[in-house]
Amino acid sequence: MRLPSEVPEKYRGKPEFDLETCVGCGACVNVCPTPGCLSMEDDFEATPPVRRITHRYDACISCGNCEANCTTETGISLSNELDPAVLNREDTIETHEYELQFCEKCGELIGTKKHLIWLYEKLGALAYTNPSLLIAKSNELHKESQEVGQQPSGRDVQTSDFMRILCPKCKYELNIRL
Amino acid sequence: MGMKLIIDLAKCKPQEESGVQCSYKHHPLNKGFDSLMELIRFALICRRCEVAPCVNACPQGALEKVPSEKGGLMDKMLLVSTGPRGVLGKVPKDNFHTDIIKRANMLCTGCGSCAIACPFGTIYTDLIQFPSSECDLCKGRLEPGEKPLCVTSCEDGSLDYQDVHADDGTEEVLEDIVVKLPGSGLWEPFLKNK
Ligand code: SF4
Ligand code: SF4
Ligand code: SF4
Ligand code: SF4
Repeated sequence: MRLPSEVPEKYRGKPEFDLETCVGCGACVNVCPTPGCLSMEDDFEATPPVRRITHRYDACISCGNCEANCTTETGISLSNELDPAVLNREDTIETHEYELQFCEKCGELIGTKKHLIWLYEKLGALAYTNPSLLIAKSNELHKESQEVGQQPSGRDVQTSDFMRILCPKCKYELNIRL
Repeated sequence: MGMKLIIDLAKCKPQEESGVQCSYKHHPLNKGFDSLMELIRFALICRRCEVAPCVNACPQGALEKVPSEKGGLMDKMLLVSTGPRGVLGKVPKDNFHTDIIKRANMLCTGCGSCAIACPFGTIYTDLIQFPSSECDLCKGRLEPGEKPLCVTSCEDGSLDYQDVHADDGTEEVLEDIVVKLPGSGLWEPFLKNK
């Protein structure tokens, strides 16, 4: 493509997701000031249930808020692309999916699986304070052997809940009641 | 002395049931009461981890530990922290860290990392929504004798607004916010199916 001039490295062009490092936490959606530009939807009906984060470049004002506030720092960044004209407006829309993690006790949404794994890695040794993070990481490493009967287990806390991925409220419940 | 908001934790129900409303004018989400609960949870049930997973998890540096002037709170916690099996944990006083977690809600992006990282379930995502709300105790917005909207709208009878001194059954967890400590055990009001 011929560009009108050299693009400076810091030029704020089209924001691009880095799907390796974006964990789908939704912070960028929160801080995006433009209605309809970045949006997020949790689809519980899909198999497996997913979070969809959608970017509409036609609404983007290239403010850079998303990049500046990205949880993983590199999940989204403004590229040097300055000529993203398209013939069809739909082509400015991109959607990415992230698998959701539910509480294995009560079934409540915790976040995305990738977010838990990212926290496991970020926290280092501190992750060992939190079985949920260890199990999430281990599930990822051993995808095929995941059938450990991790269905929501009902209301009463039991000792085996220490070996489940739990939402904050169930973690509290377990710590206090057992 | 001055007017204080008094919260009876034992009576507190979830917002859907109590119908509690908030008239804080800078946010439309009616979430001021959640911000109060966040502060109370940090003050009362946070384990004050020496090396705190929540602080380490936060990508924005929005969480920090601030020294609490209410050092005496910990003595009261020991007194009232009785569960079905008697007094929960007799930790020597010197072992308590009196620093309280504080969230800078202008830095927070609502990413939820802290809620996932905390091993004890102190915070959950509903309480740290973006944009954040803040309870300002309706300062400057009340007519003489008028009570804040949360007190008049809350149907579970857990809130009051009065000129009181904190005494033995109560604790001023934050400036002008007084919590009635439940006799049955401090942790209990925060359980889901209490
Ligand atoms: S803030 Fe970063 S990691 Fe989170 S959803 Fe946005 S791009 Fe992904
Ligand atoms: S650059 Fe600004 S307007 Fe564009 S997606 Fe990021 S936050 Fe939204
Ligand atoms: S929700 Fe806010 S305080 Fe918690 S980790 Fe994210 S930015 Fe930090
Ligand atoms: S909020 Fe949780 S992780 Fe943070 S200090 Fe309190 S108990 Fe520890």
